Parts: sequence; structure tokens; C-alpha cells
Amino acid sequence: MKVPDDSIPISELGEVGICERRIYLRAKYGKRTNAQREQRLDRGTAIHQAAYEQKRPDDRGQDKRCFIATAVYGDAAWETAHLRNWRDRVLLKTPAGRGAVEMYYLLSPKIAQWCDCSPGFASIMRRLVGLAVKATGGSRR
Amino acid sequence: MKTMILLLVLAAAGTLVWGLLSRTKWSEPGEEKAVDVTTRLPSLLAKAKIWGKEMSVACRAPRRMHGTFDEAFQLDSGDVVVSETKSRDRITVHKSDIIQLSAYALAVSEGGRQKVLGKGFVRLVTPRGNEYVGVDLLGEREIVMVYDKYMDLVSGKSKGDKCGKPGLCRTCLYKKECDAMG
Repeated sequence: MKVPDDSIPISELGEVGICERRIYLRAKYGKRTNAQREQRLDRGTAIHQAAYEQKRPDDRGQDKRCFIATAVYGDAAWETAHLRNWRDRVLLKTPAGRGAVEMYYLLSPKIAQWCDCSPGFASIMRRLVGLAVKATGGSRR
Repeated sequence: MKTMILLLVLAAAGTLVWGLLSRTKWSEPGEEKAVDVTTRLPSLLAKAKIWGKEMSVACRAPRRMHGTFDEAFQLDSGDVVVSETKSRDRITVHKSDIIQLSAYALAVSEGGRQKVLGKGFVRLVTPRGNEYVGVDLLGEREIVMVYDKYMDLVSGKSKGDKCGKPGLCRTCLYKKECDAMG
């Protein structure tokens, strides 16, 4: 994309909303910086980088994580779909439920990893997830 | 419900015990915690697809400007919604965020080449959590006024107003000169 020589950066345009005088003084005396400002800039850059690299679970921006059920039943299984649905419909509606989901996301990748490594453990987890599906009213349609 | 909670607690306890027994290395000593930018999408964007990330845009009319926005989503209707990521101490949106988002939207929609929604999102990354905050964008006329003001300030035609925000003035690197101007 070719940028015209007299084009101005949009990020600088936003500064009119912060302090007009600062834009005037910066143009007159030149850009100034200090260690604190540089540190904040570095943090901002790191956050932008992390946001850029963040993979959406799928291209439509929906959160489809349900690691254990996916590991033992597969991504397309009705059990996995039911648990995702139950998470969104019931758990994410309350603070306690959201806490439980956060806790689950913290622990479940490890459990899913063990399921991949140990068929015995996967079998136990499959039964447990099956119980969870029943307890939450899941049934094949 | 009770069975489910019991299962979750059992799974959590089991994982913790297993982790301790196998001395799972959760993180390296001295390793800096990575920035968590995970943000739940607002309902408007929940079914939208990513239209662009870190995409450079430029426009010639109504004024010449360019920039790189962080994220843009496309709704099923075809409208594009722009979003900017900001690192803040708390969940708060500034006027500068709205100007920036509006200018990106204007650049994306230049000459009607792309339909852009009159609403954008500021994705705030704060120590207490992250959130997408929806804002109403400025219109073309308002952006032109901001642009012309900016050009007047840079060219010295206007000296601009003091922002009058004590917190900002305290840390401003031009405070001495600003105070001298009165």
C-alpha cells in the first residue's frame, strides 16, 4: 500500500482527543521521551504482539474449547457439543460458573494430554465425562 | 448439578496431586508471566469472522491519512467492525480511542468501497481483566474537523488548549513550556 507523502498517521490524529497543546509543543520542540514512557510503550507493543498472535479457536471467533471431552470423544461428538452448550447456557451465566470454567481451562489441557498418552486414563475419563453429560441432561438426539 | 460440581472438584484435586507428585514444571524460575490478552467477544461479534488483523489502510478523501488497525471483524450482513487494543490500568475508553477508531473506519470505507458499521470496539487489556467495549464512531464531518485541528496545531497556526487533566499534566514532558505559555 502506497502512503501519500502528506498523509498523517491515524494514531497521531487520536492525540487531539488527549491534549491539543502537547501536539503543538511536540511539533515546535521535537519529540521527547523518558524511561517510564519507553517502558509503557514496550508493554503496549508486547500486548499488541500477543493479541496479534492470539489464535481464535476457529475463524468465526467462537470459543469452542472443551479439551477433555474433545480428547475422549472427539471434536464432532454430540457429547462434546452438549458440554460446550451447557457451559455457555448455564456455567457462563454466573460468576461461580465462570470461575469453574476458568479453573477447568487451567487444568484440562494437562488432563487431555494424559488422555492422549494413556489409554487406561482416557477410558476412566471417558466414563467420568459420560457421567457429566448424563448429569447435565445430555442425550443423543 | 451436585454430581457435576463433585466431578469438577475431584478432577481439580486429582490434577493438583498428580502435578505435585510428578513435579510438573509450571514455569521456569524468573520467567516473566506472559501477557494474557484473552478477551471474551461481545455478542455482536460472537458470530462475526475476522476480516483483517494488523492491516494497513490509507485514504485520500476526505483527508489524507493512514494507519494500521489491530483487528476488524465482518458481520454476516457484510458490515466491517473495527477494533483497537489498548493497555490500561482500568476499564476506561478515551476520546482519543474513539477518534482513532473512527478514522480507521473512514479509511476502510473510503469511497464506499466497504460497508463499515457506525460502531467500533476498544479491546481493553487491564490487570483486572480484559474486555471489548463498544463505542459509537464519529462521522466523516467530525473526523475532518479533528484532522484540520491537528494540522493547525502541527503547523503552529493554533497553539491548542491545555487539556486541564492534572494527572496528565503532572507527567507531561512539555509541562515547563506549557506553563510558560499560560
